[in-house]
Amino acid sequence: MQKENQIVQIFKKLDASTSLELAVIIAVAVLLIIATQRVLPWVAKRLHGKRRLHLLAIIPLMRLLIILTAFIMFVPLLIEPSIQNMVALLGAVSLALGFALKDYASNLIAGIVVIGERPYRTGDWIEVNGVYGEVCHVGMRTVELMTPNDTRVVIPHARLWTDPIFNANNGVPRLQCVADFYLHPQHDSKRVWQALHDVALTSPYLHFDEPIAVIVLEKPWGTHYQVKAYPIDASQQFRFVSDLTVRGKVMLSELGARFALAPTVPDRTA
Amino acid sequence: MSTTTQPSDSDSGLASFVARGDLSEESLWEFVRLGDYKVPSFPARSAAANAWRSFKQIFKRVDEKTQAPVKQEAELRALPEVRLEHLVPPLDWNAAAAALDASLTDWMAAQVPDRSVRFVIGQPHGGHGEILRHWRTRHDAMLISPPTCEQVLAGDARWLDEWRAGGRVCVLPNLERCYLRHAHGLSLVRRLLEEAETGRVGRGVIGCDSWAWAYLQRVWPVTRPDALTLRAFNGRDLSRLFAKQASGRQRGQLRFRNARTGNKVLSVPVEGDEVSSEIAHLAAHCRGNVGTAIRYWRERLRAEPEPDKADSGAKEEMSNKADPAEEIVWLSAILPEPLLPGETDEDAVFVLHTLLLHGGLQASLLPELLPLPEHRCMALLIRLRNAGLVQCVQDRWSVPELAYAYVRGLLRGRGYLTDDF
Repeated sequence: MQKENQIVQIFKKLDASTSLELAVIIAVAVLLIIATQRVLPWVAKRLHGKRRLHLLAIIPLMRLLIILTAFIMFVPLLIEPSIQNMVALLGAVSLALGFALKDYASNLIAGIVVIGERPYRTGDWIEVNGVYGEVCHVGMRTVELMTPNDTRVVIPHARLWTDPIFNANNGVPRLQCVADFYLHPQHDSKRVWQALHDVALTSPYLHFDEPIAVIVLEKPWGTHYQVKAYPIDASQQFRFVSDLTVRGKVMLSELGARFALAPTVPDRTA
Repeated sequence: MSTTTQPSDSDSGLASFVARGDLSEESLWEFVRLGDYKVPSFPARSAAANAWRSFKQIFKRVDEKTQAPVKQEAELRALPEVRLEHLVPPLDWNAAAAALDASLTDWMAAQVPDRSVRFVIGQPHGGHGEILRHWRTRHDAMLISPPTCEQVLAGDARWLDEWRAGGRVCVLPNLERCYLRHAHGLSLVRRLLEEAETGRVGRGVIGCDSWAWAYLQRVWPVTRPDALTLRAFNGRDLSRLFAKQASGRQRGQLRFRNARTGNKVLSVPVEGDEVSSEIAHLAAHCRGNVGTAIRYWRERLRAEPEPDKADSGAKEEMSNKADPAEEIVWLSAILPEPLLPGETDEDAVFVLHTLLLHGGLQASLLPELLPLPEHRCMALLIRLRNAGLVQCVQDRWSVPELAYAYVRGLLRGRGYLTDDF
């Protein structure tokens, strides 16, 4: 009973003006967060390349700064900010989080780590636990992906502790794309190799500052060619691969190469 | 016609190789090595204004009002075509050819030159093709016609026989027409560049558009530090050129004044050595490209308002103060630049980029080079033409002079391959 009284004594008595001040701080913080989350993506939509990604990456940081500022302004209005009071308050909060809101707190902490370590940022193309998509929002608790099939997937940040995160572009506008071709083993490999290189070199999607690579792998069922190149923007990756595939197939047919007819679908990772 | 060669130009900081054409046009037409090309910088005030304009562009939606003339300018009328021809006649590329001649004197004189083929690179509308044709006439060199599209796509090496046949110096003015960005469209140009490098095609001069050159550097990655290009026209050069052009049939004093401020932009004959910031801004905006700069200049010239409308504002005052023997030509304050309404979609950007990489193309070739069906290509071309971003001249679609700076900025902003100028 005495302890309860002590904890209650930590808090200041709220009068009308303090309550109003608290309400204003909360309202301004919420409005600022909403504004940054609406205005910055709107501006980013009108930009391209690195400038767009840099602007998008600022959003979670801005939100964290607004929350911290609001918290710093909020606490002295509620409690007397002495060391004794802070220790008591933080101890109580830690207990509550430790038992009742463990997972939620874990996600919030992982969300802060995400802002610092940046394993993914808005605009990155990532794969988490088999889900591949573009990061469209980094929230406090979750990250939202938009898959190529236009499906929104919400993943808690706490996945960061346990699952590997595959980031295809890592904060830059470009990522590597791979177009696969499976040919019957009897063909002129040198001509095919050169032809596929030229197919990539003549794609309107190609970004020239990155290298083009044609990888040749001999398999029991035929020859596996991989054309690896970078599109100008990560959002073009599927159109780029389609363009390489369509024009590559036309080119290979004109060269007289036959496509492999494997009895089973070959494993891409093989 | 006398020519001189000077090793360097300390004013512009052009290091190594500078050659000069007519003495009467000293330093106007000069060829420099590609790496020595210096883009003119914006005057400090207009650099800030330019940055602010670019920033506003992010938020701005294009509407009719943004492209309408300011109130005062609405009173002005366009100059008659004949008067425009007198004030801004077509450029005489012969003077530029003389400068090129001076640059190539040593190479021509050498019995066994280091390189059997020299390259001359020009920006779009920079006249590299015309210059080389004039140069060819001076030396009675053999003009090589570009291969047909069918020959390019077939990689028909018989076209190269024309080079070897004559035994004379050959001139190929437009290398950009010898390839197509198509998986079948590179073998012929690779063969040509290989034979040019090894000297098998004999001695020759090859002209190439700067965009095609940037692409071909990826197709045939051999650097050519000795490639030449026309030196950038800065504000001073443009002032001298505009004054020289306008002085052709001018009897009295002629003044070009800004239609908004009334400030003097240029006097003919030239008074002093001061360069108007308007012209310096134009030179920077055009990145030293004389072909596009002169087009902007021509498009901005305006005549006095009709007598019954000439009763208002600064222009009337200006006209009253002026010497009766002095003629005033007004210069619109607005750069007559087209803007694509709304967000430019990817397909439109592809079309613009492809046209620049090839120095213009026939519409029928676009579906071969882009992942777009024929009807879509045609629809895009018409849409872009209506926006003033492309033009069709003799069945060849290209980016016009007034759209070039905007299109280049658009492509550069989106990370597409651009030229090195």
